[in-house]
Amino acid sequence: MDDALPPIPTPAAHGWRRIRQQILPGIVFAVGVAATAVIWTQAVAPTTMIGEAETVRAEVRSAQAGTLTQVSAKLFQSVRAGDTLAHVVVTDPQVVEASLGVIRAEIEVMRQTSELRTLLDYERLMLDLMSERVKLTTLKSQLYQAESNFTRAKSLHTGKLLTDERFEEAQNTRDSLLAQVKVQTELVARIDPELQRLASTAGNLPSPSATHPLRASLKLQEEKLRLTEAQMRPVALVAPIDGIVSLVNRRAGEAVAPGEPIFQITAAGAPSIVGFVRTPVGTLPAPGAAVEVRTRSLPRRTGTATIAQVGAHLEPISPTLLAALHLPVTAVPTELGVRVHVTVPTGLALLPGEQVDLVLKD
Amino acid sequence: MDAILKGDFGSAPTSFQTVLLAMLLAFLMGQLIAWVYMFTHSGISYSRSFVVSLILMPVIVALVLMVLSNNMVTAFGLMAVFAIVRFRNILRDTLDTSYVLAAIVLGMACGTQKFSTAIIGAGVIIAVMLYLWLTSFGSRHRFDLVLNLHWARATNELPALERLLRRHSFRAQCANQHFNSTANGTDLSYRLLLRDPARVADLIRELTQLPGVDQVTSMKAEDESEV
Repeated sequence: MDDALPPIPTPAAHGWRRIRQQILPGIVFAVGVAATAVIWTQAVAPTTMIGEAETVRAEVRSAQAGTLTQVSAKLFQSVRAGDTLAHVVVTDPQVVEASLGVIRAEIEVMRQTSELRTLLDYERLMLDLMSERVKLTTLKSQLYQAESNFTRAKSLHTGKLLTDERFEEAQNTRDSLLAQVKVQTELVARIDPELQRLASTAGNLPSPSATHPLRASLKLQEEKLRLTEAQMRPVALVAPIDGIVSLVNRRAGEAVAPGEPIFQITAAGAPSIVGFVRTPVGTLPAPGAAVEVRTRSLPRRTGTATIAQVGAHLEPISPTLLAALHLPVTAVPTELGVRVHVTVPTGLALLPGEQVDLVLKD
Repeated sequence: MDAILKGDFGSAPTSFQTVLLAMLLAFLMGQLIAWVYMFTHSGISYSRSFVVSLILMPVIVALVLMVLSNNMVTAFGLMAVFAIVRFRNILRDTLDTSYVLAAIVLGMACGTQKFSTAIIGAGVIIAVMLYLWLTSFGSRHRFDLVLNLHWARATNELPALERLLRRHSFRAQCANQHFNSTANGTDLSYRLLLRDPARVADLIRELTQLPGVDQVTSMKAEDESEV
């Protein structure tokens, strides 16, 4: 029979003191253990390997030597594949000028040495057209140069490095040449249909024998002119991939060598994550295995991905990953590993080159 | 909040979670060590401030090493500063040393531009200090009262006395039981953890009214620590 006496009441202050001194330390310890477990598993769980988001880069080069003009690409500008970044004038304007001078002189020689009266309207018109085309090509050559000068002057003028007078001079030269090219183009466009019409009728008539050498010479001069026009036309440099202009090595007006990288385009996204299983290599992950990807940037984001490909040989670990692993980066690679490609989890939006922690789930 | 968590300008960026985890683990380890020390200590020179230092010191040392972050120059700086403080002050208490070390390391964290670490570290250290103060951690207050009395009845009737003691105390431990050969009965000594320390007089009155109890004397028990 339990005949325990009723306990006397404990004052609240005394009860609180007991809780503080005897129960609270245990509660705080338990909460601390729980918090540690949460942070440990969510933030600093041991990683299987470190990887970095793959960076896709493409370089834009000129196949021919020349002078860079009309550079429209700026650093960090977004571009799409096929966008024109700049032009390269592959022939020196002075050489073009000289070639056109030769053609002009030869046409003049033909004009002087031929008996004009023996010429038919067709040949006369042909000579006139070629003269006008030479003039147009010369103007276009000068216009390219003026355009380049104006672009350079504009950027200098914006930066207060060029006087207003010099800038206006470059602008006026460009505008003047532009107007001349327009007029000359219209003139050529007017003569050309007339010539075509005469050519169709002249072809049916028996041609005088005296005009045969002249026509051959005209044909030769026309081909020469076409060649010069082709040489004078600048070569467009286009973006090979979608991305961002990450490097601009040359400015407008600078000479470029054949094969020299002029721009670098970096793709906006990462197609995969590259990691290395360090030596000694234990069990290699199999393609298709699940991987947890944790970003190293704060706040940490996680996503689930799969192993896409596993390398078949050991290769040097990239210097950036070595640095992330706190391993010495040496000129001669000493740390080897098996390269592993991991898919990028959807929604993780990794920056190219971003380092991530990879945790194998299986 | 974002500005606070990204305010480290040292050579390597600091992860807020890592700092917190390191200090939390240090605190838990320190508390475990302190508990083991408290339960196993058998000497007479028990010091509460020493027990508190056992918890505080790992937390501060964890912060020290995060501030140093493998930097030899900063490590020498810490030694120099601590030596200067120690040279001008005689630190007799380990808890005083902990406080001085905490102040130095927080100053070093600010000086090495690890502002986030300084803020988080100060927060954790202050929280631990307040927790230790609030819980009076390290005090071994196991009993409030030492009660001596003479029990004139048979020993198999002691449960009647113990029922009364349990009415007034959470814990009643019989520390001494002496059979008196000259007089009938037993001299008893109990150590009590009282339900209400203000009602000792009621306890003694009820004891004296209990048949077989006489010669009741009591003595208030203090904390079992030097400091």
